[in-house]
Amino acid sequence: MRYFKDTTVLNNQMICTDVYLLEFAFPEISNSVEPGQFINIYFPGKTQLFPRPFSIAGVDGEKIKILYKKVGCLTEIMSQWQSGQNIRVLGALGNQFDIRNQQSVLIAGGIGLAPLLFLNARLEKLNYPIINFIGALSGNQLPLFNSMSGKTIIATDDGSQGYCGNVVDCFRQKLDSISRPFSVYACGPDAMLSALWRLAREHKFDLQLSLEKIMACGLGICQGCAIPHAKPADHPLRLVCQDGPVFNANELELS
Amino acid sequence: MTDLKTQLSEDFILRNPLLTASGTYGYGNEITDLVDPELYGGIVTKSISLNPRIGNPPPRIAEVTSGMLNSIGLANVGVAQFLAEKEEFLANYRGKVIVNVVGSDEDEYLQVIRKLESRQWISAYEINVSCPNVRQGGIAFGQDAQILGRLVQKLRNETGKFLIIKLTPNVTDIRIMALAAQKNGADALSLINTVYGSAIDINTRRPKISTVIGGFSGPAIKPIAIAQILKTYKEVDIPIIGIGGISDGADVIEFLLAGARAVQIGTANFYNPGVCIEILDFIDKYCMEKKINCLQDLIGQAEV
Repeated sequence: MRYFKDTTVLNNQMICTDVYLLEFAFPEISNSVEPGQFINIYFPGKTQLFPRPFSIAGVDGEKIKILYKKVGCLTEIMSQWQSGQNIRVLGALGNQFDIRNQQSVLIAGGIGLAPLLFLNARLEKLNYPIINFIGALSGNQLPLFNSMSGKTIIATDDGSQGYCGNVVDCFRQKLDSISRPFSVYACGPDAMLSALWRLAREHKFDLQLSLEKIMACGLGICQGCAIPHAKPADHPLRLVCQDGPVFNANELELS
Repeated sequence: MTDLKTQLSEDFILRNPLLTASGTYGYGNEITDLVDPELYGGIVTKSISLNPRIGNPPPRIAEVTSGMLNSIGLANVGVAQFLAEKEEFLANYRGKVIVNVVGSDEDEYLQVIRKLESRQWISAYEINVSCPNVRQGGIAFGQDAQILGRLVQKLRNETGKFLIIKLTPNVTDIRIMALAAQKNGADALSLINTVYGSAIDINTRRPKISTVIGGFSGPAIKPIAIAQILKTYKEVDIPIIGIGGISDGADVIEFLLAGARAVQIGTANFYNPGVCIEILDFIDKYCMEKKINCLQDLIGQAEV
């Protein structure tokens, strides 16, 4: 079910440089929402029209948590929200990660960590090993990874913490040492997802990717977030908001 | 209670003047869990073509100041699948169903209408001669008065249903197109469709939508729509359905004052699922305050 409603900010705090954790009450969905799904946040004013989609980073009772990075005018406004602020939200939207009963590898690039935090919490309840690869520009931009279950490997572009380099290269180096079978769940910038997609094809592992595209509605109506399908003859285009945001790598063509 | 009915012809009466703009409310039943379609006076469907169209390659939309660019390219399931999948819902809808029709040549428009004509639940057709996002068809018919007139005449001969022609603002003088449509048998005009627009990413230097130039919509185009309606209202005798950047109840009143007998809510359906109910609330309060018993009394009452 999808709900469009006004709610109240319960907590909004900076976790590390420009990254914030926002919590608000959304009891209509908090029990049923699944890792991979997202919500829209609406903004008053007619200058920037589109609602902004955010992956759900976790739930706690009736609360929904989202993790966001301050990158533009609207996230700047969000960063100033105090407890008690009224906000307008819509959710839960989109599909979910297809959780497989085997070892899990989570690969996050930057703020792409958000849906994987929720997934990690869900995977904890299954008794399979979890390995988290967390990539960031720098060591001061690594939010909340301490709370994650399983083994965590850090990669920073500037080498200030963990592996020096991007998270896909870091994962590639460890790939042979990870016992098969395993499933990879990933979210991050387009270039990272493309690199992983190529790697999965080369090394034949199960891969699910959570994508982000500009959306005017998030409801499947505007058709603005269409992406090509790997087999265009069978499925001409997919909508990230409705058919995704999580896709199996073999549904996509990212080369 | 204010009487919200609006009459577009002797037998085409809307319970209220709010319609969904084509392409902003799907085929009618996709988001009924969030937006009650019965709040609207009627639904205008996505453009329907003879065969399915996948639309344009991504990226298809961009956000610009107070508006958006789109280049969806009339993606739709085609008339056969439209009837197979949506007829049950639309036949039971209590408002008016207006099917938006598009073709890449005259024959396609006519063929689509022939497949729809027997359906009693369809009250009207809105003919899209104004889509800026496809090479063939659409806007090609809306920018030449002779070509438009001939198409309208052929459609008129084909249908007894209420026939609405949706005009583009991307012409030198919209009144020439409006008069050509009226002369050849159109029952009403919808104006305006989207305005040509483009945007460039300054980092990649690439256009923000794949077709480079697309359709510009949203609050930024409202003054363009108001101007086109004011101009056209003075020239034609058939009713005008106003479209272009409506985002709240005050905008609706403004369109009625300019001469629109009904309005369509477009881009706002994307960014505010509550827009219809908010507009109805506003109209109710406005009419009470101004002591207006009948909303129709406002039509064309701008003192210009």
